Amino acid sequence: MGTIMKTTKYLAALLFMSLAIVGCSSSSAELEVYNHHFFAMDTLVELTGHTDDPQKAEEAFQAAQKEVERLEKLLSAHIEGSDVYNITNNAGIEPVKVSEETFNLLEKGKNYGEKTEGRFDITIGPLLEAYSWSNQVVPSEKEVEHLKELVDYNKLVLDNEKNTAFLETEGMKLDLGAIAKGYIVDKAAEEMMEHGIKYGSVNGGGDVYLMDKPDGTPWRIGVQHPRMERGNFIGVVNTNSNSVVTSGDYERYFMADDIRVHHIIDPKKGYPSQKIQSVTISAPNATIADTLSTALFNYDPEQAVDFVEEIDEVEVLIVDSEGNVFKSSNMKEKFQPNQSLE
Amino acid sequence: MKKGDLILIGIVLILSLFGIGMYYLFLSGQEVEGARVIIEQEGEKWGSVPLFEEDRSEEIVFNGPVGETVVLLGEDYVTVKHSDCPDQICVNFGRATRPGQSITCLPNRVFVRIEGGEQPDVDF
Repeated sequence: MGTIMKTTKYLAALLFMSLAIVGCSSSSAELEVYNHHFFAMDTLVELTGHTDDPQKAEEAFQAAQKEVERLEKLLSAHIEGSDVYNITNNAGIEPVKVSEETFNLLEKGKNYGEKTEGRFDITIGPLLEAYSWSNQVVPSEKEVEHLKELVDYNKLVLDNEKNTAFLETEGMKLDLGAIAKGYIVDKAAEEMMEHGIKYGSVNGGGDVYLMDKPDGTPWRIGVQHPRMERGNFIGVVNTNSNSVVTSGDYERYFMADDIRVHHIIDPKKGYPSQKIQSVTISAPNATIADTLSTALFNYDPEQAVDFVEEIDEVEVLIVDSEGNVFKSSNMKEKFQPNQSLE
Repeated sequence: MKKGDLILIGIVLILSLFGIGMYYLFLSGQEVEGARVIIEQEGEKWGSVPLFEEDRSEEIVFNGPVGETVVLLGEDYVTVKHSDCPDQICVNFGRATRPGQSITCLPNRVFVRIEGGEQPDVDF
């Protein structure tokens, strides 16, 4: 009888231990991961939230999608009736009253024009429209020279008393593509967080907003090798920043006479810069990361790094046309190169 | 402690370890090895198939607003083999081979994604 009693105790203890081991391994996955995606802004928007409440996730996703759709109607250059569409339609005619939100983003865009001495320009519309990546069209030299005259952020007049915007010359066209997507991603993330999602992310075609990671570790963002098949990384950025965005000359391009005609046009030259293959920015939000990843394409790599060193909480990693990697000082700690490529 | 006690403890221990082993093999194992390819058009799910399938070479043709988009399921990858879309971004993507990767043909609204399976070593 004594033996049976003792054995029962051992049995109970061992069962308890084994259950405890299994129980511990399950508890690390208390939060479920929920995903939602939809098409907007000419891209796929992917929302991810880690929560223990599926209803909360659903509400947050719906609110974020609504916000994206609302802002797209305000800021798209192609949607009839949007603020941006109306400003372009009235170029050289009259100032247009816009929403406060549009006004603030235009002001921000114009400021980046000044800071980058015109290497980033939200009036780049006429040049962009002259190219066609689907039909592999490059405008003639003469055409580029003419269109460059219509690209000048100084000729975007913003009146903050009347909340109006005016493009001074007829034929000028606004294009917020390189700032608005980041902004909309930030606002979608804000909606999700306001709906109680603390852990997760918003990915709008590569413009990414990162909330906290559920396990508290830094996010690991792979930096695509510009000349290898997708999924081959030159390395990984380990970061606690809220956004990491890469712009690359491999995303949308065609080859014309051995020249890579990619989608980032230098507003001052009228052609895509050939000095850089990719720019990766980590920043406190996707608006900054989106803007700078485009703007810095039109710098020399060293100059671009110097530019970023002056901005708090922003880091850059550049792959130049020869495949050399340039990093700002704090990026050196965050970047883990792919050893198999060295 | 008698000899019988030790034998019983031994048996219980083996059974416990066996149980834990089975848990990892069959329950958590599904998460480790179960990478799947999810394919959708216009938000409607076409299906979800395992990423790995020996000797597979299956083409799925989607008709959309700009024509055809042909998705090819290989043995351990998925790719867009052909698309009538103008930009060819989906075709230029090449092969998707790991969880977290996705290919989108925006004009034809075709969306392919690899989910589940081993945790990718990067988040994006």
